Amino acid sequence: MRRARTVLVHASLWLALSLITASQGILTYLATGGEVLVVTVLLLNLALWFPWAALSPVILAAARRWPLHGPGWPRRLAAHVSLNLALAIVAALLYRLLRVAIGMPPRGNYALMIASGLNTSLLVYWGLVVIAHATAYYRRSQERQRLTVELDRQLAQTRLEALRAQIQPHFLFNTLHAIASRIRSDPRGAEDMLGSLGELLRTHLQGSVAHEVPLRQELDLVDRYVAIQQVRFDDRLSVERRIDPATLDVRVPVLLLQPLVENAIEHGIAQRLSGGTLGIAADLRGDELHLRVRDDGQGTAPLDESQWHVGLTNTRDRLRALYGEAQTLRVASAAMGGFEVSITMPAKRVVSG
Amino acid sequence: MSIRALIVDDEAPARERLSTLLADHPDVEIVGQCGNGPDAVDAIAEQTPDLVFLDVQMPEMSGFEVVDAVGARALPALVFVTAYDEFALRAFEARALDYLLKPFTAARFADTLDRARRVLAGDAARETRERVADLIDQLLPPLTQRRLAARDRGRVVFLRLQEIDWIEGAGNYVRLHASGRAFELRATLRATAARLHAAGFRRIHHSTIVNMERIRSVERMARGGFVVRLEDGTALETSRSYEESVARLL
Repeated sequence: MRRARTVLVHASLWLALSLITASQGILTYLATGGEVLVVTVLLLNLALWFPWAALSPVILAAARRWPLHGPGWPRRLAAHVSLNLALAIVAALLYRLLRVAIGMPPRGNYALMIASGLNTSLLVYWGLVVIAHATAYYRRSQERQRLTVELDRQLAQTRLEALRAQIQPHFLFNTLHAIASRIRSDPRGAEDMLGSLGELLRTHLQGSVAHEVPLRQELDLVDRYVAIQQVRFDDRLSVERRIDPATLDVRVPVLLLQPLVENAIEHGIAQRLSGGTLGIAADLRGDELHLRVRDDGQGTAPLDESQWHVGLTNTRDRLRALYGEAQTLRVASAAMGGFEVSITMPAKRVVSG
Repeated sequence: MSIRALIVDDEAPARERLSTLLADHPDVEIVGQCGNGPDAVDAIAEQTPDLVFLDVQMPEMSGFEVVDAVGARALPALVFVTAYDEFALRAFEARALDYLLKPFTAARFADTLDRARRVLAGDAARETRERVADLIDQLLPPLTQRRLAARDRGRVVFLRLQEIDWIEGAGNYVRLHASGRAFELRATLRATAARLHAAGFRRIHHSTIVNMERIRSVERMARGGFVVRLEDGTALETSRSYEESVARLL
C-alpha cells in the first residue's frame, strides 16, 4: 500500500517534469512562429524523461548505499561517478529505443547521442543524489529530536522514581528517627547523617540537565545513601566495593546505580535477620565499562522481565535509549541466594580541561 | 513498683532513642533490648516484662507475628512503634491502641508512657489485650490460610502450612518437606520456629521442626532421647535441649 503510493508519487513527478519541458518546447515553437506539433513534442519529451524515471530507483538506492560523508567518502564518490556514466549510456540506449518505438528514430550516431545526453544525466543523477541526502538528513534530525525527547522523559521518570524512593516515608522517617537518637550521644554522627540526607534530597530535587555524569559522582551519591543505611542497619549491612580507579572518569547515566543499590538494601539485605553484604564493582574491559551491584539477601531474580520492578525496567530503557545495542543489562540470582544486576556499556571518558 | 520494659526494634539507633528517653523516667527499668522478632519472643517468655515497645516492620518476623507467636492474650502492655504504615495505623486507631510514630518527641513519648502506666495500674489491661488479639486476627490471615513462598529449582511455590510435614535447618536456609518433596526458604530455623509456633509446629532438634499434626509415634531410645515418626514414615531424632518439650507429648 505504502509502496504503491510511493510509485504513484514518483510517476506523477516525472510526468509533471515531462509536461513542463514539453510545454516549454511548444512555447518555443509558438514564439518562433513555427508549426505547433503538440503530440509530437509531448511524445518526444516523454521519451526523453522515461528512461530516467525508470532508472531513478537505482540512483536513490545508490545514494542511500554510498553516502557522501563520513570516512571513505572519496571511494564512494568514485562509485557514483562510474554509475552516473553507466546509467547515461543505458538511458541513451533506452531513449533511442523509445524514439524508434514511437516512429521517430533519431538522426546521428550513438556516440553523439550519448554525449548529448550527458548533460541531462549529470543533472538528473546529482539532483537525485542531493535530494536523497537531504531527505536522509531530515529523517535523522527528526529521529534525533524524538530520541532526545524520549531520553528527557526517561530521565524525568527516573528522577521521579528515585525521589519517591528517597522520600519513601519509611526511609525518611526511620532516618530522621536515627538522627534524633544520635543528637545527644553522637552529635558529629548526627550532623553527618543530616548532611548526607540533605545531599541526597538535593541531588534528586535539582533538575539537572545532564544525562551523564562521571562514575565518581554517581558513586559519591551512592556512598551517602549507604552511609545512612549503615547507621540504621548497623552491623547487618556490610559493603564490598571493588572499583577500578580507571573507571572513575567514565561517563554513566545520572542515577544509574542509586536505584539498584537501594533495591539491594531495602529488598535484599534489610529483609533478612542476619543482614548481608552489598557488593558494588566497576572495571574496564577493553573499551567497555562493566558495573555490578549485588546483594546476598533473600531476594531472587524475577523469572522474566515482566516481573521487574519499575526501577529496573526504567534503568534498562534508559541504557537502551542512550547506548542502543552497545549496552547490556542482566539480572541473575546469585549462587548462594541474592540478586545481581550487571551492566556493560561503552566507556566514554569525561573530556578533561 | 517499677515498670519492667522490653525494647524491640531491628534498627540500633531506634533502640537507642527509646532507651535515652526512658532514662528520664526512673520508674521504668529496661530489662532487655531485642534486634529481631525471634529474640523478642524468647525475651517476652523469659523476662516477662510489663511493657513492650514493639517495632512493626522487622525482617523475617514482624511485630505482629511476634504478638501472634507469644499469644496476644498472654501479652504484657504493648506500645507499637512504626515509621510509616498507613494500614496498621488505621487498625490501631480503630481499636484505640497506643502507638508511637517515628520520629517522636520526648513529650509524645511521655504521654504514651503515662497511658501505659494507667493501663498497668488499673484493670484496663485485659480489655487492651482483647483489642490487640482482635488486631492480630485482622492483620494476619488465619493460620490455616497462611502460606510460605518457597523455591523449587527456580520456581516459586506457595505452600500451605498444613502441607508441610517437617522442616530442616541448613545454615541460612530452611528446607520445607512436604509430601516427600523438599522446598527451600531463605530464613533461619529459629525465626521459622517462632513464626510457626502458633500453627502447631515444634522444634525437636537444633536443626529440626515438626508439624505436630503429622506425628504418628514417639519412641524413647535406649541411649536416651526420642525418635519421632511421622505419618509418611520419616524418622526424626530429638536433641537434648528439646527433649523436654517432646516428653510433654507422652
